[in-house]
Amino acid sequence: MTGYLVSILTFVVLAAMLGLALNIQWGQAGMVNFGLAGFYGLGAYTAAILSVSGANPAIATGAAIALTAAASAIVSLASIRLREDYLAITTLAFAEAVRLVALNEQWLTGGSNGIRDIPRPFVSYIGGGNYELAFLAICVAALLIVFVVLEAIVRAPFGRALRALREDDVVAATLGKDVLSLRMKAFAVGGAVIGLAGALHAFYLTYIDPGQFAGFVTVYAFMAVIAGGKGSNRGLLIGACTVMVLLEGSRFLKDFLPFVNAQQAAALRLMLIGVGLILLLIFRPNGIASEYRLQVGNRSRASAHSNSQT
Amino acid sequence: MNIALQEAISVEAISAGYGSSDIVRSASFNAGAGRITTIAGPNGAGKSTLMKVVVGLLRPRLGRIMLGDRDITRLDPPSRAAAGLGYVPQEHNVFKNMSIGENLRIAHEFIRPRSSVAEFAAARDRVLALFPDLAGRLNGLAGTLSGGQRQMLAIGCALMPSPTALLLDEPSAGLSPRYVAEMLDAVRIVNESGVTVLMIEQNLVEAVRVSHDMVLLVGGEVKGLWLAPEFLDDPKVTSLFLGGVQHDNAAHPTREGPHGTGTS
Amino acid sequence: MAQALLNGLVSGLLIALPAIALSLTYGVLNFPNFAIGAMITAGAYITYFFNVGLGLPLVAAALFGCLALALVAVVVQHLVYRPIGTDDHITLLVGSMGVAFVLENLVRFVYGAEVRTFALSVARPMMWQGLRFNQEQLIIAVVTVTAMAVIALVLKRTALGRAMRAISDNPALAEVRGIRRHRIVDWTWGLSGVLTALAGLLIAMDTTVEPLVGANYLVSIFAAAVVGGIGNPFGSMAGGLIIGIVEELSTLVLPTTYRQGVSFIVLALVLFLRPSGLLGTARIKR
Repeated sequence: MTGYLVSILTFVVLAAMLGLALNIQWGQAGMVNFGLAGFYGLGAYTAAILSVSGANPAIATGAAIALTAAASAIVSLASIRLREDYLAITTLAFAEAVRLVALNEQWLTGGSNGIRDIPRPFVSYIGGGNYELAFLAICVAALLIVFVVLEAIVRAPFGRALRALREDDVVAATLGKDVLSLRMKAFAVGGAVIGLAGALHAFYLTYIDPGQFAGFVTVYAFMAVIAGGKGSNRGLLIGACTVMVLLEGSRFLKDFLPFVNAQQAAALRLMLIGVGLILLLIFRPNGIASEYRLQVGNRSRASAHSNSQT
Repeated sequence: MNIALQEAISVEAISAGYGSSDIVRSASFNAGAGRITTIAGPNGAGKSTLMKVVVGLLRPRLGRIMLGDRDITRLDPPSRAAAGLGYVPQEHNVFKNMSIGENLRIAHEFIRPRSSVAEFAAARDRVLALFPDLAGRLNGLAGTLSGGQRQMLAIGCALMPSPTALLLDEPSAGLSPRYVAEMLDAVRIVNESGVTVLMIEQNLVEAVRVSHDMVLLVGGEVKGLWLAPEFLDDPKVTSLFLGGVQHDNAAHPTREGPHGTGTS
Repeated sequence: MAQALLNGLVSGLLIALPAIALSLTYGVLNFPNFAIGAMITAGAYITYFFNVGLGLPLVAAALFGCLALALVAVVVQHLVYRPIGTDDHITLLVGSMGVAFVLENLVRFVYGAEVRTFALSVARPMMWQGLRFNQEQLIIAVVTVTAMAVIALVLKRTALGRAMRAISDNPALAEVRGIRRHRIVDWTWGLSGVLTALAGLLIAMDTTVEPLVGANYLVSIFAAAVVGGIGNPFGSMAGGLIIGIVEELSTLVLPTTYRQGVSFIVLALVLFLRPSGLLGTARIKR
């Protein structure tokens, strides 16, 4: 039982990291990253490939972070033309491209079979039995560091500039902020966090294949950000937990639906996740926690259905 | 062509704004049936906001709008158009990627869906008679027109469904002096056929020339109604425009409005 | 080379249909419908249901499939997009991702992941002036060109088409000129559903019916719409052809699995350099 719990918690921590990353990219800077799963996969594969070739896990992780951050910066160039839709389209297409490479370049990625036997970091220092727990501790530590750093960014002038950008990029541009440079930085910072999460994912599972980095990862992250309230890092942690609990809980669905086979149960779960996302968007687009910011009677483009809290 | 029914527009205690604060505060006045009424006021007074409420693009927090004897406050813009309200916005007032002919057609077919081909042709001919400049280029894209021509097209479109009331937001904005006079003369011709006109206009000399009545809006509040010829001569107007405090509550020469005038 | 051009033309026609659907809804709702891939899949499966499940001949099944998907699109509009609110295009974007998820997995839930095919007789390919093409390609060409002609007619000559173009041009003005946006939006979704169902049917006819049938085309469809100027249905027609040909030509030098990779690069380049589209059918900006 504890093993299962530890495993769930590790996934929650990784999901929370992805959520924090999306929070900086979308919640703060208004950049819609529909290719999050692709960047996640990029980080994971980088760490895995380097590790399997004998690199030290710290270096592999560092490379994953750097590469994902760089890729994010480049992809974010699509946002040079202000409209969020364009970035959304480009990131989605990028994720597709990553998936194609992962599937087809067998020599590099093992194709659909993926990469196995990724060496676990520090396994020689920690006893076999406690490894999962120790790894969870490492992940939690990483999450805390990421949280602290991102919170500092949110409260710093950089964060304010990002939010100004999000609300009205034309105005922000006239205020002299270099719009593109701010966006690239925000996206790259988010990308770095995603890369880190990807590396941890690879080390934790010790086996990765393209199927682990499909659309549902992106949807989870969006749900966590929306549930927690766009832009609020604390809210996000709550959001991520809520979403994960729902997801794990729905695994038991098939126990209540005996007429449904395993494959159908999986499809049903994913369907419910999609429905959950839609319901969130309709009824709670601003999440549960409010954003760190004075709400100066500023009803932004909230839809007529959103709750007007505070 | 004279329209059969002349209808007044009555604005009653309208308070409206965006977000939590009101831009227009308890505004009341009457745009008399068959008359030209101009809303004047300094920048930021809330004139455009008020017009949007009358048109239906902004829901008021409080108050009522009447067209003739009908309460149109709950109607959405398409319904108000069907009820006889024509509107010419200040900017973005034509479909730039569609031809002039199509603009005129669209302006008619959704507000008067049951009219015949002959009725449409007659309406279009009336508009082209008013603005002959448009006649030769029905196939050109509206976006390629000059400012003055675009304005003519916008007004023409508003007139296509034979409205009983015409609302114009700064018809002379950005136009050369020659076009300004032409535009406002066209408005007067339209009014002579019985159409009630309510407009916002910054060019006060021209506005006073063609209008019957003037409404002064300052800081979101109606400060008074004047007959047009007396508007510019009244020293209270200048002081209100420049933000002076109005001490003298002596009656202005007004017609009887339903709720009297706003006080300062 | 000529064979590649021919194949590219046909596959381009196929991509053009959903690209047009994408532009139509983008025009009236101002957001790109990310569920278009899933809608194609749903269209293929619905038609499959009528054809193989109910035993109807393919043409009748196609007809019902189109109507059914049109209905689904309108229902989704009322259940999802309208409650989210027509002004918030970023939330609509994310919402369409949710819709995609639901549709794709609904299909998986009902039909599982096995690959299926339509009840079709297999015909021998034909030869013409040294070029080979098969019956499916002929059908694709005829159906898509007819559909495009109908759409062009609707847009240019009907009140509905004018209303759609007006809303796309200036939604607030359209309201003031008497156009009821919600009604027109519903009709637009209906048209979009018809086009997408046709595309789903044609793609599935050419390949197979499986849960990823639409998702595999997503990048190509977006590339086509963007190249032609997203929101411009006529541009999407041309964009589809261009992308189809570019992808097909790329298979002469790259492995075929990277077709979408090529489209991705085209997409990224166009968005970076000329987001209003390559075709100079630049719409007059507001």
